[in-house]
Amino acid sequence: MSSPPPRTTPRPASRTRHGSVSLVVLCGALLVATALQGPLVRLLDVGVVRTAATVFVAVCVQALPFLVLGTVLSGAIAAWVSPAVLRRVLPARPALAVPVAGAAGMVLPGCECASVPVARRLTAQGVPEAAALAFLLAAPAINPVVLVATAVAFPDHPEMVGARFLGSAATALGVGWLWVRYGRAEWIAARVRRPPPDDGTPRWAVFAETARHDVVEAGGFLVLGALAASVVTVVVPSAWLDGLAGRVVLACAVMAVLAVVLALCSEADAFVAASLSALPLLPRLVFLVVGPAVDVKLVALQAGAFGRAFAVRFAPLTFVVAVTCAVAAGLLVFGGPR
Amino acid sequence: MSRDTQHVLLVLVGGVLVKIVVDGSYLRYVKPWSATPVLLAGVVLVTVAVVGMVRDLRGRAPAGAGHDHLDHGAGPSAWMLVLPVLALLLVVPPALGSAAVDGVGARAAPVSAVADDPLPAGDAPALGLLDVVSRTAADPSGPLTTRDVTVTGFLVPARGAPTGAGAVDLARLVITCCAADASTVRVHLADPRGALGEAATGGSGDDRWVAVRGRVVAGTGTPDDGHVPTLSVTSWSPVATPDPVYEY
Repeated sequence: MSSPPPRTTPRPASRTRHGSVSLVVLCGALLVATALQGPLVRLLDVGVVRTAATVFVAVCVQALPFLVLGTVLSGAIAAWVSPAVLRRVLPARPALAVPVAGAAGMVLPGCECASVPVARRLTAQGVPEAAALAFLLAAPAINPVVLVATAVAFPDHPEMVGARFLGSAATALGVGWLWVRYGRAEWIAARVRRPPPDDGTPRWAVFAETARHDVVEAGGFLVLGALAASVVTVVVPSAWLDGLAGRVVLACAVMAVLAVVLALCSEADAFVAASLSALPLLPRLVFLVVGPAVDVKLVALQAGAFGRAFAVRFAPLTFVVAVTCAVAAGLLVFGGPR
Repeated sequence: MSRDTQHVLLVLVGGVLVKIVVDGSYLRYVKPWSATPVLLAGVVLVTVAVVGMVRDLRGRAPAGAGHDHLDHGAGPSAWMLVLPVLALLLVVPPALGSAAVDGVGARAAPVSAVADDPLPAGDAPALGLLDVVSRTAADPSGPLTTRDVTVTGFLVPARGAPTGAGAVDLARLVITCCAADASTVRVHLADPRGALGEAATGGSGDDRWVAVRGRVVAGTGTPDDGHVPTLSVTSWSPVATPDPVYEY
């Protein structure tokens, strides 16, 4: 950005040629797929593959509206919320900005797909990374919709709501503060921190451009995550969960891993946890705290938004912190594994 | 991926979202209340793409540093968006059915045990399978054991059926958010009068949707049998796949 290339032509030739190439590839792919529709349908109509295809499409259709909501918010932030405004709202010290951003996450009633583009945009607008990450973790886990869903799913165990809130809030703050202390700026892709250019483009155009860019970028990763989740859903034998009833530690570990690979929407995971009634409450709480913080779909989205170097560090960190916070919150609220 | 391609792709993605809501096939994947968000998302995607195209045609696309920033983000991963478009345009995967009962949806649906509304009036009123199981859980010797009801579901091989129950269960899938969180609600079928006939033998293949009339055997559907009541069958008839196909 510091030394723009000389602009002799309004559009670089390479871009025009590149553009036509990818458009031709897209049209070609659509034509080939249409021509092969019959074999394609038959290929996808075999037992397990058919189930996986349905689950894949279901996750995409369920998540895309939330992703679009997130990218629209992201576009609005880019267009109308200047870095100066955000600096005024948030405390200057990152350690103090973390809880404020985490609390802000409570009012975004979406699931995890909506919070990733917003957190990315907040970073671009100069919000401290640790604060944006606290928001990223808090928004899908402790918003009112998710807490009400949890209360509805566990009518006999209202304490589950408090335990989930406690565990998820502690995860968001814990990861935020750890990032303040140990996080390095270079782990996040440099492009993230570049705000949209202030070159006289009308605000609504900045909004549309940012939303389009975010949805194309994040959408691809969302589809990748949905693909992984659908494969895992049909491959993991449900019999795994039988025989875990008496072993709390093993059950916690298995439920934590399941939360990552199943990639359920945070508004639905409480009902899945409630249906696993053979397990004690603690492993089910671990499932509820880990799921919205780290799962395959989220890791894919985060890799797209913040870069791979970020994702390979952030995902394990979040996983460990979330499991720890969930177990601590569970022991505190339930008074034991139960 | 160039801007033009992104615009075309967004129109396609938004278009299929609108399409599945309009033709109703979205109910194979998500709950009915998702119609509005899915439709809105589709409209927003198409709008954003059209705005971008119009600006490009008028030559107002961000130039120089601007397009550097906004164009280079869409890497190869963006191509993945083609997959749901192809799946929904060409294949339209079917709703989960009896094949999912032993796989994805093998978990038992959560039973709420709070249904204390009076039964609908009339002869053998139609009830949801989840409703029957919940009412029975709330009161294992309640009105369902003395009145006939009609329930709709598909036949699956019986699992853990008590003595007196037949070789098939009546099942239905329940979804909370989308088909990925599907779970199964089922009742055992007892057939003291031989009413089930050839339907009683476990077959495989396509889903066999039936409407079964009967009443709950008193004392079943408790935590002891995992909240799977036994329904004593009076009569049954094959039916078309219901719409929506899931219970919620």
